[in-house]
Amino acid sequence: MSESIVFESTCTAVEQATSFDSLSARGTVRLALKSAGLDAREVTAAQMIVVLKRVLPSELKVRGVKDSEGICSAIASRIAGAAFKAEANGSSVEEIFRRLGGS
Amino acid sequence: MGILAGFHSVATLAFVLGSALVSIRLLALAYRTREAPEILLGGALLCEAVLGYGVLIANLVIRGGLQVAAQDVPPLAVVIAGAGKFLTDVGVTLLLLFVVNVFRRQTPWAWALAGTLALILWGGFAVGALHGSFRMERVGSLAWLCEYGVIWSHQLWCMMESYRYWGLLRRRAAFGLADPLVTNRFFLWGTASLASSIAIWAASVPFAFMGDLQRIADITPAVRIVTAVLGLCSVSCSLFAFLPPAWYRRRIGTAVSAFAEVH
Repeated sequence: MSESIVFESTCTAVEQATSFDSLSARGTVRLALKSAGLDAREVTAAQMIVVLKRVLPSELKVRGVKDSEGICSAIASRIAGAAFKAEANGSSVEEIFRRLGGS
Repeated sequence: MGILAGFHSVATLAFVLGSALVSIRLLALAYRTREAPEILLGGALLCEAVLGYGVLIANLVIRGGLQVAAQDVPPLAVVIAGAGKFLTDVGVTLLLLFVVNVFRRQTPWAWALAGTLALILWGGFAVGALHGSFRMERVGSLAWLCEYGVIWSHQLWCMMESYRYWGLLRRRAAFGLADPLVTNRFFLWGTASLASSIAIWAASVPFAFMGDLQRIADITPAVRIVTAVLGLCSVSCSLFAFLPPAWYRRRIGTAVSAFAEVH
């Protein structure tokens, strides 16, 4: 199973905004997602925006990226403005357990 | 002994009735949604915890306890034992399918593992049936080990996947990315699976003493207490997970929101 479009878009944006190569950008975004308990294959735009605001800036900072907050904020705005496919299709594990418990 | 027997009976009844409530709730949901997870989990609970367990208890009652000799087993007990084993194995198979369908849908090794376990389970059932396991358990035979090996282990897989997701969602909840009640639901289902696993292991202990009625009689009280307590724990977790009362929803929502604020 491949990574989500949101993940791919974020990695490309990080790569363009920093001196990271593709591998470093993807690895850093993956680490940020992992800290938030998320998976690159299932992450939605709404979740990625939270990660961009609250987790990724510190990950970029420890890797020597200046103005990491500004970069992440700009990427978050771009993600928020982009039209991604319907996110909650009811088949994620979380959605299934929500349904099974009636909430 | 009377108090113990009473406690065990009440706990068993509570387990079967509680499991029946949850399975009916899930199957009713499946009727509306036509989705596989609720069909698989509702069917698994109905076949394994309600019908299979209930029928196997009826089998023990008809036989007057665990049999150590094949003579004089009533024909009805043979039929009931076969039906109970069949229903239990159907339930085990449905639960394996639930785990793969929900947690590992895109993972080839998980489908292969579930298929292998199902094959071992039904192979053990079929070979055991041909050798008279409905009349008398052939404890220690390859067929028996195959069937019981899967019965002993299948809930552990469910437990591991549920606890794994509980860990992931706790991290998400700290960022406001997960519903506290759904997060707690993974913990409850993992714990229900763990309690069921230990209860199944405890209930199998007498098999280690086949042929020694005195030893079986000696350990039966301890086995009954352990299985009764764990059965109650398991069914309570299932009820709070899939039929949570309003006060529990409110309590978990408040507690985990406070946790998120602190972290």
